[in-house]
Amino acid sequence: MSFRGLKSFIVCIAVAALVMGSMGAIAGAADPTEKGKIPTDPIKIGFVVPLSGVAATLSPNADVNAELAAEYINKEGGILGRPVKAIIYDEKNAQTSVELFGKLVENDKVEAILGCLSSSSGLAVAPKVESEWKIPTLLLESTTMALFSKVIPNPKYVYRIGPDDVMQSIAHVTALLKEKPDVKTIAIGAPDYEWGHDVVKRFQDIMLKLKPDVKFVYTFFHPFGEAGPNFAAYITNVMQQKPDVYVGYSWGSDGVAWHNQAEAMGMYQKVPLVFDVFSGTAKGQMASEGVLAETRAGNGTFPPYALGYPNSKFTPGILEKTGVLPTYGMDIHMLTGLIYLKKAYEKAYDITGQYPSAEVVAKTLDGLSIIGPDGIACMIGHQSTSPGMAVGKLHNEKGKWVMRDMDLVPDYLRIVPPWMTVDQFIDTLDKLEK
Amino acid sequence: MLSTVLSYIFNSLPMVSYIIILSFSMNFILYISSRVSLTFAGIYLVGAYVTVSWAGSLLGRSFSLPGFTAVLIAVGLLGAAISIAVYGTFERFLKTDVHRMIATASLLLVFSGAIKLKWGTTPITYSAPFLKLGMVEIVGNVVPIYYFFMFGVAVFLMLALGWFLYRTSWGLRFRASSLDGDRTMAQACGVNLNAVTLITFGISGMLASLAGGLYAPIAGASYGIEGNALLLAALTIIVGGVGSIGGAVLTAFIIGIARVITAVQAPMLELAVPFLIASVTLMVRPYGIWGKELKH
Repeated sequence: MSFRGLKSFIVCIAVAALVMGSMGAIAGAADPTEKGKIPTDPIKIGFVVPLSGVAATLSPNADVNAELAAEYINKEGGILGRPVKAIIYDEKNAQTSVELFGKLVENDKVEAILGCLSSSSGLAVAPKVESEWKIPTLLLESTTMALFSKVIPNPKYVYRIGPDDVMQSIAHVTALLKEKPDVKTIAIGAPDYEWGHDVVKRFQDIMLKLKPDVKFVYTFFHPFGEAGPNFAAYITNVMQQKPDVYVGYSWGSDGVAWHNQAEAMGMYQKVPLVFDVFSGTAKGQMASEGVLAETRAGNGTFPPYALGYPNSKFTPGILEKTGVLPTYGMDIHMLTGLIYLKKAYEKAYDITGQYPSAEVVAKTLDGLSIIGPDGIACMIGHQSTSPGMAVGKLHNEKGKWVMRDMDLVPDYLRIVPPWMTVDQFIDTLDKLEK
Repeated sequence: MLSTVLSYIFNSLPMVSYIIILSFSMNFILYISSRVSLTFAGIYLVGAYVTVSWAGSLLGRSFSLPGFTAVLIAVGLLGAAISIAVYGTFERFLKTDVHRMIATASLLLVFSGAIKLKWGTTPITYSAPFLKLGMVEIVGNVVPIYYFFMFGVAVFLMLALGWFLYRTSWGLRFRASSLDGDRTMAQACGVNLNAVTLITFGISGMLASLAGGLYAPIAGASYGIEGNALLLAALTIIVGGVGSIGGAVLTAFIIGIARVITAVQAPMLELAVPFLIASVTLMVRPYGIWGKELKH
């Protein structure tokens, strides 16, 4: 063997040894008994929540509440020991939401996103999350049924914490029938966009199922989020129809304007019963004595606050920082969302032994149970069961608006079982009620 | 039938009043100074927020009409001062209409940013004047008295402007330097164009902030109202014609009543109606229904 041949032989042996050594190291790393390494840097979670525009009155201080939810999780040890870093953007509208989701995924490199109060935003971002961004996304509200029935019928990454429209409508119809069992005529109005049409249709379907002799004497959809709206024509028409009940779904700044204009025109005196669904929100700017209003388990003043759930540790912090308790579910849903994520990461890590990918976290969320701020919640068919609902009467007590005669909707009436379609479920409602 | 017709008129009154005042804010600068300025929309936003804030803190629950009127006068003066200050420090350096459009449109972002800093992003309301003035029932229609107050202020302002323009020597100077007159000749005759322009901007600012202040008790003060104000004012000028007080009033009625009727009969068209009216006007009479072909 020449010197050159010997040199080549030694190089080959060295390379082979190196390759064998590396393979050994790889095999060692894949040992299932040894857990994968968890990054130590903060885990970035994106929040797209309304800070301006029509929805800002519904959820004032949403940015502060997102920070507080992250702080709460960090005090509980973070997610797999990683502190949560909240990156918060203003939802504004559907188009902006899509841009912000893209920014969060591509620039900020977040691992999950919580957001979207408005159905229009949720409907706009959901298809892109599923097809392009592929990141666990927990919609805080976006209650339209179209989300999982039409827009993303087979979701993998998108989940919803807020209620869906069927839950909402069943709660509203049952409470209304309890309050006024002899109702004969109803006028109903909502903002003119996907959710408004959806919720009115559901309300009407469910009402006619439970009380077929009810007549909807006036159904209308007013412009949504118009700056400086004038609702006088709609209000006049409601009063001219002389309904037994007016059911209104105007919310946010629309809701405040509707309330002021209806009050100035005497609608609350002329219509025997008004159910202004969101009149408990907007810091009392929509409240009138004796009006029916909806509240959700997410509401800081809702019973679980006193039942020892995380709410009892969480909401006082909100009160201290913002001066008001949250009046709408979304703020509490942020904490619910983070608890879901924390649990999903921990469960996935326990099972696989590896720091979970976005796909694994998304899969783990399905079927997950947690103790959330408003009690035990499960993710069934990408829909969280947590947001319990109640309807009560508004009453001004020494200058503060409170809800009285609360009617809590039982769980079996507000969750569509996964083996049923929405229409099949609505068909069974009258039997369930009996 | 009469009741229905009256309901359309009464329900349109707040929008009519607001459009009259607001559109003339933009129209006045356009007519007298031959300038395009969108600053009025920002001042409108400030007017709404300041009225809610001042009235809320000064009057609170103990509402009084003279007190609220005093707040409105103060807000009007503030609007005039802002408009003059913006003109003196910024707008007078803008030499072409393209520059003015772009620069004043950008200025709207500054106004909304300032509002955000001061009042945050949550809409604010002060509805006491609207709620506490009460209501009257006319031929089966319940009408808040505030609607009449608002319309009365709008009519008073237009009459005062008409009197100023057509019955005073200063008004003559304004008309001489307007689009109907000849600025060079007016200057040669001793009209102080700088003073005329400054006062024009002051009046425009006052009208814009008053429009915001008067409408705020009905709809609240919220982000984005300036965009709507801008569109409605521009559409009213397209339909009514530049510099026509009568045109502004009648167009406000056309747009206001058309919106109320569509809200009841065809709600999907409610927001589109002003644009449809403006489109038809542009096709049939490009200078506006009450406008005239201008020299410049």
